[in-house]
Amino acid sequence: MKAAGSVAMPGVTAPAEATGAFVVALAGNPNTGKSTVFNALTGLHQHVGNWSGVTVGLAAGTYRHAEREYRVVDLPGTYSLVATSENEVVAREFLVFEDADVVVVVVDASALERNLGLVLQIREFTGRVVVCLNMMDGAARHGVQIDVAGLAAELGVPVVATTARDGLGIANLRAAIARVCAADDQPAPCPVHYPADAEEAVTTLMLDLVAKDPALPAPRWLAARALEGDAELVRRVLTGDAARRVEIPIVTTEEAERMAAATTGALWAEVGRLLEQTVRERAVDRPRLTARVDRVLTSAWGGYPLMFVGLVTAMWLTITGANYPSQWLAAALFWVADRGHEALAWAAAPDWLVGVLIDGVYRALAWVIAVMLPPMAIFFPIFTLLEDAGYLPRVAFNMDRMFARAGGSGQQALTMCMGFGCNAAGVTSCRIISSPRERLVAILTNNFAPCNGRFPTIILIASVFVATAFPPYLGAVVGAATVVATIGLGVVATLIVSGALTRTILRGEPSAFVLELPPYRRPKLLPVIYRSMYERTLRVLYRAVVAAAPAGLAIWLMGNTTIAGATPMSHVAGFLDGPGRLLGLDGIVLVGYVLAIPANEIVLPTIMMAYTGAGAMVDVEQLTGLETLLKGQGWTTLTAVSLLVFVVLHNPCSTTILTIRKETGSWKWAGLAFVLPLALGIAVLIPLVALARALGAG
Amino acid sequence: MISLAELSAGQKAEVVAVVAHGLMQRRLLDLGFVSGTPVVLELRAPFGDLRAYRIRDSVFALRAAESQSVKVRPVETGGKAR
Repeated sequence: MKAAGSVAMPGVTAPAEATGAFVVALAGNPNTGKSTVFNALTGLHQHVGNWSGVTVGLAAGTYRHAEREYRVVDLPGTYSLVATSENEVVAREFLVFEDADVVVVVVDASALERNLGLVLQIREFTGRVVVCLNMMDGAARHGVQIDVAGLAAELGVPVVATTARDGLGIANLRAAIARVCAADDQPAPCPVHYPADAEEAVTTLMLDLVAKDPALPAPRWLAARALEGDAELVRRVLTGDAARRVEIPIVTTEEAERMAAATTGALWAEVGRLLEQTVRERAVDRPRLTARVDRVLTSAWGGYPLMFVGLVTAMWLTITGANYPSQWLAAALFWVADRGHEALAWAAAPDWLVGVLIDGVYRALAWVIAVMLPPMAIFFPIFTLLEDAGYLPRVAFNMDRMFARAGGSGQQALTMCMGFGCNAAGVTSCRIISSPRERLVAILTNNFAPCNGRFPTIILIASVFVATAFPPYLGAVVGAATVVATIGLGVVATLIVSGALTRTILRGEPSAFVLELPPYRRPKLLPVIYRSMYERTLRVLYRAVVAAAPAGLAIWLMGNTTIAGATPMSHVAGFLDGPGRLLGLDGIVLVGYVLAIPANEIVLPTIMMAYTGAGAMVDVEQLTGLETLLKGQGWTTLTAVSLLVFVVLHNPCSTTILTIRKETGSWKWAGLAFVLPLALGIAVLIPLVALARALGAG
Repeated sequence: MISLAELSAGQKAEVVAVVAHGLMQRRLLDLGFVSGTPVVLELRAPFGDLRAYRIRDSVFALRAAESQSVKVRPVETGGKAR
């Protein structure tokens, strides 16, 4: 694109010029191992890039090769460059307006036909392309034989065979990228030939575009898009007064649709021709194992029960497995606190300093780490394992009926699953939903999926209050079932609120929905551990720790200073106690929720610290001591159940709210996302608690 | 000529035309539902109308509205491969 001239929009500077680095755009279909290629190229040198407009927030990474710096931008996975979803808009905007030095198209070698569609679309648009033929191991296993050199000759650009998850071929890929970046002359865009009448219309408009703006990149590609109804794109690319002088014919909807059918028909015909030329053996059926497993996991008799059993098992492993490590960690970390006390006493430090440092900040941190780290270190790897194996799309497949009834997109099941990890990530993932209306529904309801920051509270309440009511051999299973029921409440709330939204303020026709069911893959242990520990566990823990330290300080101050004869904590808690009781909780719990707005993770530690009066948690080395402590504060089964409901039905954390503001561009929607779950929680809990009390509970 | 929605499990067919409009038409075309493309019904969701079809080396699930808008011609098994 460099050779073709400037495509920069007013006010947009190309980052390549700013940093002297080559810009490498990484494109590809979903499920092609694109992020593995990204990781293999850039290692740990990744950050969120700063680009213009909608492309802001794309992940970018750098690497050095032969004394030059390369900046790799990971575009969202897309099937095409036509803007049918936010992801495609983002990918196309970057390619058209950010002037990359090379576009690397990552291709799944075992599904070449599917992937070549996007390759040809990008090839129509630019000559600065390297095709990364990834997953060569999978292709070999399925008996697919590809003539790599022949494919490169046909496409007119380098084709590099890789197996990125084993690091194979990455050196060759870097070399090919370097060659394309350094070359002065580049292959021109490669046209796909359309049927006669379409060809004539496209050529006519293309010649007009070139006449008015000779520097225009990819005029033929732009002409075809304009005739498919996207004249707006062309107007934005045109520079200077050419935008006014070019006459783009006004096309009717039928004409645009006929043009789209003609151009895509020609594109796929060309894909067919390429396959004939370059692929000797093809897999005709799906991988047999995938087909067999799918027949069980998506069957009418097995689909739902197996989903349920899987969830219970994951939770059971998390609860049982986390119990002892949590106790050891707590014992060790509080042992350190005691030594800290001794050291400060020896140094004759003032009481308030000991209080602030040890009883306030340190104990809050110790608590958060001891309580959160073990369950996350078990749950996240299990979740990532299922994700990598390809199970999540099957969950969406099974659950679509319910989301269809709620008027939501089928993709919403996927964004909800992401929400179980982190609601902010879940909100961002809603970009895969093409209809703006359905995307908004998914964004507004994402918070009903309890995220990992809330799991420790759910797990702890389930194991301390529910599991202990049963004999030990039943306890873990009942505890796990309680956690699953709480998650179930989140799913039900998601569906009901989605249904309510699509029948009131977000009414409309359901949009087209497609869901890919990629073949199952054996997950690679190391990347799973890396992603689940580094990207998930440690990131969530970091957020919690950052929020816990000031909260610990605030609580200590609230519990250890005096205003008008009482601590600020007792003032606030006393004030909130009335509303708290109505919800089956108390003032302290509500204080905990207010202080936990920056991070839900610290709800329980905050409550514990407030209960123990002096702001210090004296007796939590044993997690079983928790039950005694809470019961001593007047907790009953009703309190535990109310809290479990409130964990699911309350406002999102501040990170999620800010993400919603960013994704929707509106404080109005962010505000609604805050109020909606909180109002629902209040509306559910008040009658529920009143009824339970009338029946003699609590 | 029938629609994708009328295929029975494992039945093979060849796409004749997509009769959808707007985004849905574009989406189906981009996934390769164009005239002459072989397609097989692979799976049905446990409940509801979602069905998964194998097309062009991958499997995509479509709801009833999309399935009905893709017109196909059933192909005799053992007929022309690919």
